[in-house]
Amino acid sequence: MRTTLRFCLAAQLAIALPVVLAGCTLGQTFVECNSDTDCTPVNGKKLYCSPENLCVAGTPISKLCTDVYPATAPADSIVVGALVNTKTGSDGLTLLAMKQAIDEMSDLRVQTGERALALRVCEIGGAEEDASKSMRLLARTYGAVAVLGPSSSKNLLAVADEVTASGVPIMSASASSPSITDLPGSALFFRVAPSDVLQGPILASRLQPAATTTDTYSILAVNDAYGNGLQQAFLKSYNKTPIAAYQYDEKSGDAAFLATQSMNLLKTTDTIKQATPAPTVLIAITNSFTAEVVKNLQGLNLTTRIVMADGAKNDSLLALVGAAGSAINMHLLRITGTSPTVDLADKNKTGAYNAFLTSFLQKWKMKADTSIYTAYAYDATYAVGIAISAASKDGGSVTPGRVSEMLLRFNGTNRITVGRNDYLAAKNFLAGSPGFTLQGATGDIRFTPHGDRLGGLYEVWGIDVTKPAFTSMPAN
Amino acid sequence: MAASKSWTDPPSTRSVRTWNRKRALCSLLCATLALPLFPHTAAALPDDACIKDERCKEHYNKAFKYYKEEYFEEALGEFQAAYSARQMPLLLVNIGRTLQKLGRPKEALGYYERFFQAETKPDAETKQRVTDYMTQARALAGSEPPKETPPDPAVAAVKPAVVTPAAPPKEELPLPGKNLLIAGGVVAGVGLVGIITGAALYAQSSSAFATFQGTTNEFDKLAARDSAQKFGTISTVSYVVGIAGLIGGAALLGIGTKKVLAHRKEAKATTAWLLPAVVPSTQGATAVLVGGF
Repeated sequence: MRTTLRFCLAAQLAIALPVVLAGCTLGQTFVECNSDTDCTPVNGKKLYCSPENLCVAGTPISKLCTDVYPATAPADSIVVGALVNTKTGSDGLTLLAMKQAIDEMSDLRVQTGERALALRVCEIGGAEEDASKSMRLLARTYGAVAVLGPSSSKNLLAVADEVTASGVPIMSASASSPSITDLPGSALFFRVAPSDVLQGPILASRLQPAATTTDTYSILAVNDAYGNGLQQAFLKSYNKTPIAAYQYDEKSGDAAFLATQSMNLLKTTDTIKQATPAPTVLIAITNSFTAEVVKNLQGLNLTTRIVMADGAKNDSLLALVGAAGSAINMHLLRITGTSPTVDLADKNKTGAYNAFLTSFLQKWKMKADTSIYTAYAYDATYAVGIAISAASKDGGSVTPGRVSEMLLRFNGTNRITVGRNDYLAAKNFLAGSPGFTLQGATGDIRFTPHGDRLGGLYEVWGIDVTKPAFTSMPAN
Repeated sequence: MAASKSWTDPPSTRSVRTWNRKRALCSLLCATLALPLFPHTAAALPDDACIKDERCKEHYNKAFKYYKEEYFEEALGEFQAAYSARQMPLLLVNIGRTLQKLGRPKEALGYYERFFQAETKPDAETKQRVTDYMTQARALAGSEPPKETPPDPAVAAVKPAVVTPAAPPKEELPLPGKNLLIAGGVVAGVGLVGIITGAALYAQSSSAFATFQGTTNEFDKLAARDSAQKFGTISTVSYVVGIAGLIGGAALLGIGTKKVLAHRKEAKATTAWLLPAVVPSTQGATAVLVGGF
């Protein structure tokens, strides 16, 4: 009896003690939420509930990079990533241009017995962290050999660490911040958009020479890498201090966050409008919030000219055009801007830009010229596609490193024209020669060892409220 | 002479109990002075597995030779080696007999008892003979010096018998519970290692859990969660194994200690009292010591 009792006590102890000792680990809970509302914001930043019931910053990874183009891409396709912002940005046309280039190149590759290309599309407009999360997914999960995008300098800088860590080269169509040039590493951060170091002087040329003018100016710039970079490039070129300098945010976030941000923007623009004396020129460096900024500034002193930059030249601005003779149209008519441009003049008589416009219209039943960056995205995609094909020539394996290596060969004196006709020739040429210049829809494309575009075409644009459309004049 | 582990296993609990019961009633300890030596029995068994085993046979033959020459220490070693090679019950009797010759009757008794445990159906002659040996050993195990032992015929043929007074009984019986103590210590040690490992893994799990709670980066959070869960699970398993080991080890240590203490108490009681007497025996004159507890 006593033995039985002892055994029972020992058994109870054997069960109870581990439970008590392990109780701390058993007490760890890994379920933080069932819906977004269960997640408490951290430092004012909204968190999202992931399918694993975790409160995380940014869109949960299971919802990122879910689209593959074409949907019927073979399983062995070579993956090219794409970081686009169609939610809060204006990458809709950009994405179509990428898809068009992928289709054209894939068709030719399959015809010659090569693996097709597939575009893994990541929407990064949901939250601030989505760009870096998506880049990591593309590099580490989906095996992308190169990534197209993002369109903004802010997002490109946000993914820089992952690009460096993974060694997967990135090719942006429109990120133009000078700070990108300073990113560590080489042959990783490519861009077909010329650096704003080149646009700064163009923007400064929109004002009368600083030494002789009686003009006064204020400057409003989006508080991100693009806005700050271009502002610095402008101030470096224009040696006169502004009356006032303002900044505003264009961050991604939920509706409440965006509403607060809009309120803050409204306060800033009201301050500008109420400033006395009013400046003769307002330099406005905007991006996704261009339409909102322009709308807010409608009451600005009528004598004040508004000079904007490339970020402002998008459909949302044209969408503000009202009825003939309306106040908003009068307001829009005082806006001019600078921007990198495309090869409108067809300098080398290749017809590359017009060929792109035609094929884009045929394929998508939409006009590509409402944003110059549509053509930039097309060129960017072709540059990557040609590099991939050159990397895989003669059975070579396509690795991110090989793609980078091939992209650096875009610096020779020989010329190849972007598009379906020269694609196969470009591949062979690039793989077997020291390099060439790609005659793109946006002009000559050559890269520095770091990945910046050498040179670039610029324009001065305005708004034709009667069409509505952008007007364009070569600036250099 | 140091006892080798292979033949010093403690008597079973059952035999100890039986012994205690008999002792509780009354003990007859007999010292036989002239009995034939047993080893020739083994030699007379052609089917004996020991004879078929080269190693056992070799040791046995050496042992027998040493025994005849009264080199009992050497004979004991060889009998033990033979037993190690082949666990033939009759070898236990030989070992017991040799121990008895060496003046270690208590140990001899243990081997005779083990013989009866191993050989449940011995032939009548063997049974009687071993019983007589036990009677002698019990008698010798008492404090009174043994009477002169007539020489074994097998030995006498080689050398005249030399009667050696039995040495004072030495407590060299295998310590009951000793193996349990060792096993208990090992198991408890394993348990302790398990608990320490569990604690270390728990610390790792806690660290990962703190990272899990402190970050909003999804990749880091998922990695920290997986890490915390993995270490937590292994930690729990280590704790369970550790606690089970500790309890099991403690139980073994407890049982072993109890057995050792009981044995020591028993050993003291064994020499409580003895009285000399003479009784007739089938093997000849027998001096008998009558003891009581």
